[in-house]
Amino acid sequence: MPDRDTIALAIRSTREKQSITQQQLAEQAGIGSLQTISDIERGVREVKAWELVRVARALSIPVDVLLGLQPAVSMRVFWRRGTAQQSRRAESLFLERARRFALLELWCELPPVEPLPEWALDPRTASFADASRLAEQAGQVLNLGSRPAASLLPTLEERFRVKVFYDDLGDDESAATVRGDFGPAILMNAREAPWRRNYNFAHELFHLVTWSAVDAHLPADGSEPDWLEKLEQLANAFASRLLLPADAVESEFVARVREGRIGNLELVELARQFDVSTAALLWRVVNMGRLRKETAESLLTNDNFKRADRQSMSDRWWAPPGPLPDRFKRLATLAYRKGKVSKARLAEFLEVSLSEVPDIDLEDESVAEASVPAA
Amino acid sequence: MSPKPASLLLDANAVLTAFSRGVWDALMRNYRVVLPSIVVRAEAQFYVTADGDKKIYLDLEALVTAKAIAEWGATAIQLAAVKARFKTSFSQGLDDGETEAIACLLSGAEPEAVFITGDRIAIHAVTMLDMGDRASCLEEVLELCGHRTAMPYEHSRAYYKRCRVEGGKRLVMRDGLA
Repeated sequence: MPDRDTIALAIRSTREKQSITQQQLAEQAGIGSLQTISDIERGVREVKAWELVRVARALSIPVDVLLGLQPAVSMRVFWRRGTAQQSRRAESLFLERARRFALLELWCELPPVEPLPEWALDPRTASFADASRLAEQAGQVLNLGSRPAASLLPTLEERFRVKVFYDDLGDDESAATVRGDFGPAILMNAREAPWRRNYNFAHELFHLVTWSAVDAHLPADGSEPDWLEKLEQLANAFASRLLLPADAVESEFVARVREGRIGNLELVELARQFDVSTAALLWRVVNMGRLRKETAESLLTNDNFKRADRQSMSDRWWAPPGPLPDRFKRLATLAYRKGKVSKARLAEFLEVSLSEVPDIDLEDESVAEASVPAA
Repeated sequence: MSPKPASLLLDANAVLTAFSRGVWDALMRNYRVVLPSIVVRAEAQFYVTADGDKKIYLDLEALVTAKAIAEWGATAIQLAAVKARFKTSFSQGLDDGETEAIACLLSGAEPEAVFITGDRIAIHAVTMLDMGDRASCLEEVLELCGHRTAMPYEHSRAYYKRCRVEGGKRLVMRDGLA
């Protein structure tokens, strides 16, 4: 059982880890002054239950962590770019959402799934050819088909239960990945251009499938290794190869060549077919030796080409992603119907207020509890 | 029907439903209403009118200050003590206001209060702690004061009874208890 000092320490250490001042925490939690937080953190007085709840919300961590009933989630999160203060708050929220997702899966009694595979790769010595080979293997094992972008996210989410969230990470960061007790998870930047999303998924997948291998080579003192930039380049090479498999791209490209030339609009259509950005497609065919580098550079700065590119983009690319995936919301509702979670807790998980929880029909529980014999 | 209790201890869901269905005043007229501090200060912020048209913000702290309703606050440690009575996978499904309401029942501070909730897990929880007679539903307590307003199913006597039976089975099997 926790005591006053345990709770005090938990609040202070979490606040400091997120680089928040006592004044800021007091304001964000709405519980009076810096003095109140100071008294609480020094164990001078008891923490009231409602104060604890507000502090936990301000810090984006569960009440149970502050009570010492649940360990704080502490694991390596790999950020693609930057380590702005905002990242620590975003990281805390990301890990808490992933933890909740795993809890929902437990409450809904989902059967176990195959783990997302991992491959060995030494980041110090790996080449772009190694990354490309890895992409080919991954594409086959994950069974992504000849148009991998279309199946990548559903495969990750449904088959391997990779938890994918979105958050406004500003202009600094673009994504983060983690492999935790809750499984693999990805945080995407909701501000990222829509045509980069699939590419970013593939890039982050590289980090997930090489997680342990990279972990093994991280400096023990926590310092940043000198191969980090190279690792990102390997991830880019992986993404390109994964989403644009050579055979499929070659076949489609060749089919569109007429008298030694390929139309600009055909190139745009090819990018749409593979559901990647036009830039990704162009550089892929350059790497395949099917287009000159100067040609690609010229197209990418051509206004007419850029306009045609934009006009061809699917409406769904422009729909801003919500922070929580549909699967998360479905499981949360199911958990409520199964009586695993209260309505206010459901609201917390859905990140809405209690009054905004959609009406859920509980009356006909015969539907929820019904089952039929399986063949 | 049970005897009419003197005090009601409501969770956030019950509070918001009472307001949106226009029966809050009836509750206040006929009962001493006690709210867990978490409900007052962190959970019940606004309700939506029954026609879904308007969002009405609540100031429950003002009602407490005016002594129109009472507030009961647990300490963080009392909250932990309630959670420790259940398996983690169970207690994490209860919201903090409900956990505090259960702490209130266990503390003996409000010996005549009956906990009003429409949440299946909360009804299970009080039943599993063998305090099923210390809980009820909105439909029941409204009828006890002669008020008949249609309540959402989750706040009905039928749903409450069903959840009580389920909770009773869990108590026997010690399912979810620490």
